[in-house]
Amino acid sequence: MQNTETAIDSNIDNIKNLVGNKSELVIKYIFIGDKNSLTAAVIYLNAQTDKNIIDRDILNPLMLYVHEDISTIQNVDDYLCKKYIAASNTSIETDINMLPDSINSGKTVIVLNGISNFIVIDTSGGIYRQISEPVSDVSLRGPREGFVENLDTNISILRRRIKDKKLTLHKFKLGKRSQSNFVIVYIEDIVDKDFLQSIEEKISKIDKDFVATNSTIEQLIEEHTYSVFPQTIGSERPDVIEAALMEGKIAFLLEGTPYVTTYPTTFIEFFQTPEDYYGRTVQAFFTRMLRFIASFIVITFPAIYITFTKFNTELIPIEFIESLVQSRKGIALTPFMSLLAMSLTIEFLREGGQRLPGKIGQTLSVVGGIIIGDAAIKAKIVSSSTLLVAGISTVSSFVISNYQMSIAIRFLAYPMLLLSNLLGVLGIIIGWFFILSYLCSFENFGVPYFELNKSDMKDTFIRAPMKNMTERPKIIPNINPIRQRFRGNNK
Amino acid sequence: MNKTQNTFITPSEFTSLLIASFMGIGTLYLPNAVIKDAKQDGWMSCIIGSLYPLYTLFLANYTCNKFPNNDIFTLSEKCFGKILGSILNFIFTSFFIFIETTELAGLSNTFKVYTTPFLKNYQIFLSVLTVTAYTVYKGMKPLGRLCKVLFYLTTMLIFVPIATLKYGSYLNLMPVFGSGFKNIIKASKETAFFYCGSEIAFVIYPFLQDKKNY
Repeated sequence: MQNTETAIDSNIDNIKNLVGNKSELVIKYIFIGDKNSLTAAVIYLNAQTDKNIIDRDILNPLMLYVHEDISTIQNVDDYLCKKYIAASNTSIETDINMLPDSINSGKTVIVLNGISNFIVIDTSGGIYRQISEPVSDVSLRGPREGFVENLDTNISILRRRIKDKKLTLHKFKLGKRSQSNFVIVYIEDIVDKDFLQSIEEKISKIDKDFVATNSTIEQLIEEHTYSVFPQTIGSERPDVIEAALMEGKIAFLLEGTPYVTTYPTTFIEFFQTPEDYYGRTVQAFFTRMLRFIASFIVITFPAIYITFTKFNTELIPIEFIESLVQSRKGIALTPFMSLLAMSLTIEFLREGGQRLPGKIGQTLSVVGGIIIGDAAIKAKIVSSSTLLVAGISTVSSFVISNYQMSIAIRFLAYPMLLLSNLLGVLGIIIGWFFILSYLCSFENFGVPYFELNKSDMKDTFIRAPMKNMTERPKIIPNINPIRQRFRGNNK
Repeated sequence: MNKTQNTFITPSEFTSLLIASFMGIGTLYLPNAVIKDAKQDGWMSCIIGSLYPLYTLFLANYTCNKFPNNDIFTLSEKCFGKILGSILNFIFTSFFIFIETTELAGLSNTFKVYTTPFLKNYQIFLSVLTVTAYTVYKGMKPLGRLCKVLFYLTTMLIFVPIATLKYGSYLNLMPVFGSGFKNIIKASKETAFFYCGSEIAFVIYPFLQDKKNY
């Protein structure tokens, strides 16, 4: 909509109304030119702008260096932009309704008397957190930089790493009140167009008052709300996001959060870490196996212990059963009850220790781990073997690299415990069958969550040598399956 | 993302689905059945018995090539009319019900003998059937995926009896053909039950992704 109003005062009033009267708008009137000087107003929002740029590149030249009569010049707004304003990013805006958005994002607007157009200068600044190493995602051999809360910085970090012209950004505004900038990033000739369209449709349907973090978006667009398993993986590290984009995924970058999520996500990704790819192939195989064994132990080990002690004592070797009986002497609680109590106590300790500051957290782990454990055995609440089982399954749960998946797997141990207490070995079998069939039937935005494709085996349980990973994962929809053309010998 | 990826099953999933339908509780007491007539030549009866699933698979292949989009239920209604077709369909379905009940009874017996003697029949039936029904309810594609996963998991079980091979002796197979051809054929008839399950191919072939290869 073209602005027709030319009087400076009414224009300023309109801008004030549009931005909101109660905001911290700074309006500075200046005169431009020596004789017949032109009245102008510089408008910007406090703390969103870099005042050095405004002083040096806008106010200084306009107020001090205009020595001609500019009232005779046609298109004075364009003339000022081209001749006097030394800032790099300037534009002429004709629609007054676009201005609040510019001002809110840290741009400076110059209103000239008698002219309906506005000069918009990019002076965005303000204080943001510097690029630093992410605390939650520590890397040994990878890059040290991490995403920050500033969206432009995050995009520039990605751009610096991927210089491909096919890297595409699609901008959205999310949140009716927060008006957060939101960008989805993908590589145009890899991403599957149908998938992209379905994601874009889902995002455009979001109608919430504010969108705080990427997890909010995740929960608003996800399909399985009551599922235990996490359905989206993300990272604060640009190298992880870069690798995900190269597999044909879509990255979600939201203003105000350093956590970037990628879609679609499959089950296996929660067991992969970037270190697998930076390290040696055999070592990666070893650590991945450790993770799978650990998750198996977390789910099954307490259940097997219950089954063995309660129903199938004949399967325990005779040398071991003596010590087992001795340690259980005088304990009133059943193995199931004591194991449940111990697991819950450890769960409390872990959840409590997470929120506490570091030093108190240490005290908690000492008090919890050593004193409670020791006292529980002395008080004949649990046997030492039960405590050992609970301890091993807790330690194993730390091996799973992703915290959300770790919680999901820990949670699964409880129904498993209950099933084994009711049905014995059959319970464990049924529990595992259910988990597997649930995972197999799980579809995440139309992408299978858990599927074993032969071609994807190179990056599932093992991590094939880099030279052999010639194709992108088949499970992620993409239109360009070739990852690398050269296939060298492994000699 | 394409919808075919999530409705149609791939050839490898089809294969593992068939294997999963072969494998049943029968594998545990198959030797027991053949040894009655064929004695030491039971292995030959097993091979001869496997002709039956091969035959049904060839039939399924033939109908799949002729009518790639109709399963056996629609076909029999087309060929024999509504009434007769429905009766034949009912007989075909009751065959699976028969297999299901035998498998369940065998499963419950095995569990009661070996691991969970404290459970009652209905507890085993209920818990097993709930999970199975859940999986089947989710559709053909998840079933295919699950069978593939289970196929890889159960192939590990093949390596378990290898440890007992060192106690084996070739003398146990001697004399070859000692029990006579008639008895071998007779025993192979017994194996038919353990091999049944391949009939499921008639029902699932419309879900195949690429029908030309079969």
